[in-house]
Amino acid sequence: MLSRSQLEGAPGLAFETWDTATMAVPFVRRASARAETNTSFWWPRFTGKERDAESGNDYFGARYYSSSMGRFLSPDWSAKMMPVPYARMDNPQTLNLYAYLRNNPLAGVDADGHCPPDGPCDKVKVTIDQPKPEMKTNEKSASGPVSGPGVQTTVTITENGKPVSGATVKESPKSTDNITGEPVKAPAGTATTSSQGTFKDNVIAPMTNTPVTTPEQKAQLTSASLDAPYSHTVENTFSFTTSSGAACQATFSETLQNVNPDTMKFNDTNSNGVNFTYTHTDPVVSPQPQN
Amino acid sequence: MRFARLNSAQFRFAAFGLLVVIFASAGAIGQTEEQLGAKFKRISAFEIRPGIEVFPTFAADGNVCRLVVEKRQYINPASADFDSVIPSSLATLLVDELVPEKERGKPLSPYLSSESFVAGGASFLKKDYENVSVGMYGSTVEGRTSGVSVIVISWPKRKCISSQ
Repeated sequence: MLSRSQLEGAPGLAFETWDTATMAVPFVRRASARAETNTSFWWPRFTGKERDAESGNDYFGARYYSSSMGRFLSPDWSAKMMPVPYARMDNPQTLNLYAYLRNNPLAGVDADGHCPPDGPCDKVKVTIDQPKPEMKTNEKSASGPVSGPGVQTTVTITENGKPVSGATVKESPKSTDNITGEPVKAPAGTATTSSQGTFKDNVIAPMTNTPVTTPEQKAQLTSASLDAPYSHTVENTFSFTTSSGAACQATFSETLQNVNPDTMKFNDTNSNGVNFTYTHTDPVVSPQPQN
Repeated sequence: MRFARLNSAQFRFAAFGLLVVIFASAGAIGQTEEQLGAKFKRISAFEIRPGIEVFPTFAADGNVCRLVVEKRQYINPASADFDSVIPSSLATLLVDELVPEKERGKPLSPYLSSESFVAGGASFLKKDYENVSVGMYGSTVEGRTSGVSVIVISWPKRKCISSQ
């Protein structure tokens, strides 16, 4: 017997309304037959919901959604009496009762037409500071000590405003050389958060892996870094489990460069004597994908 | 139900038949090197230290064009090390053994290639020489291991004939 999901993917097929009482396999006919009947056909559309062929609206169970307007046609409602259904004071978007998924459609899927309860990672926040690059010498790396311009960032993870301590954070970086366009996938590393919910993360443009022991060597390295073009963007994912057991991930990208890869014009030298800049996007926290 | 008694000729025939069946099924279940070779692409590998393997790829003239050095995760039936890495000091030693300095040629720069990067617990360090490029992919699993996961030595002037 064909399942509904199998039928939904079949091109040229339309569904009549489900017989929800028996959940019987619906009567299926070719789409071309639509014009021959006056039957109101239902098509699986936005997030698998059915679209009313006459009105063009998607049926979510509790309400109809208009994909042309990007809004529900009626305000959200709750069987339990409350002043504003599903409102959350820390998120003004929850006050808009016509919005789809708090105006954040990429965050998930509305299953039934009611604003869904908080996701497991909604109250998890990951922040990364943005220190000014400097010449780092003999910094520990997996491939031995390295020296080069870079930063040591502090990553902070909180849940409900409280630090997530002792969490093992798996880092999965993919770096792209913006000058050559070559991507390099690095092996994953891990770090553990402190009692303040923080861990340190080095982002370095390594120039040498032989020890730098004298100020002269450091000065020579700094001087050489000024006219050695470097621009890398690392797409990184931090995966971790919070104290409450939520399996979350934070994705962001960070760029360390001393040159504009389009114009190949070098940056100005900063107060630390290097011409590197470090920037990153805000980490986006979401539940870890299910395997 | 009674079984008929077998005379010695019948017994020998039955035993022979049984042996044929056993050998035939052993051939079907077991896999010889030839059988595996017929099914899958053959590659070569060398063990340069216990548990550390080198996988070479060759150019048309028979010379090696790329060497990939990895540490085996399987140790024995009771254990496997999924965080297995090569300590960075050993990695340097292995590179010196596989491509001695005179074979590498002079460094193209006193510094690492601009493809190198360090991002948290992960790193990629690459050094270019006249004849070879040496890349090391490093990984740190905090509190457990830190070292080189893969070493790739390539000869850019030699064209590899297979994608291995």
